[in-house]
Amino acid sequence: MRNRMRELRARDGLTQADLADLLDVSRQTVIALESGKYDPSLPLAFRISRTFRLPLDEIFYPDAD
Amino acid sequence: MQTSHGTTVRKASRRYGIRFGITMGSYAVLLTAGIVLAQLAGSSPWRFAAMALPVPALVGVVWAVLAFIRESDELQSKSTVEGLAVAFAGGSVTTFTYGLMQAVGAPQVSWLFVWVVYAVWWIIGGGIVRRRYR
Repeated sequence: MRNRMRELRARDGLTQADLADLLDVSRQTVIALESGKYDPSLPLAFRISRTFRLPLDEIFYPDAD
Repeated sequence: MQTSHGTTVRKASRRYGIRFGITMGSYAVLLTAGIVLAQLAGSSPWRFAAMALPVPALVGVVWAVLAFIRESDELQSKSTVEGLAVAFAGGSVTTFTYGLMQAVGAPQVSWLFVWVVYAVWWIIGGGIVRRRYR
C-alpha cells in the first residue's frame, strides 16, 4: 500500500513529531507509515483521514503491479 | 536517537521504564537475599525456596513487557511481538542445537545460560525488526 502522507503533512506544515502527536502514535510509526513500510490498522487509517480532512481513498492507494 | 511522540506512546514508554526498573531492581535485591538465605540454609530443602525468591520479580518483568505491548501504539506492539518471535525461534534453535551437541559430549552448562541465549536473540530480533520498519 502506498500513501500521500508525506505530501499531506507538508501541505499542513506539520513536522513528523506534530503528526505523531495528532495521531497519538510514535514518530517512528509516522516514519514507517510515510515510507510505506507499515500499513495502518483501520482505526489509525481513519484517524489519518480525519487529520488530513480527506477520504481514505484519497490518501491510500494500492501498489502499482 | 529518535524520541517517541504521541501521548499514549509517551505514557506507555514511561510506564514501561518505571515498571522494568522496579522489577529488575527487585530482582537484584531478591537474588542477593536468596543467595544469602540459601547459604544459611546449608543442605536443608529450604535452600530451594530461598533461591526461588527472585522468581516473582521475573514474573514482574514479563508483566511489564506484556503491559508495554498492550499499551504502546500499533507499530510498536507489532515490532515488540516480532522481536520476541525472533528471540523465541533463535533461542529455541540455539538451545536445542546445543542440547544435541551435549548428547555427544559437549560440556554441560548451567540452565541460567538459557536466559542469556534468549536475551541475546531478543536484542538481535529487535535490531532486525527496527531495520525492517526504518
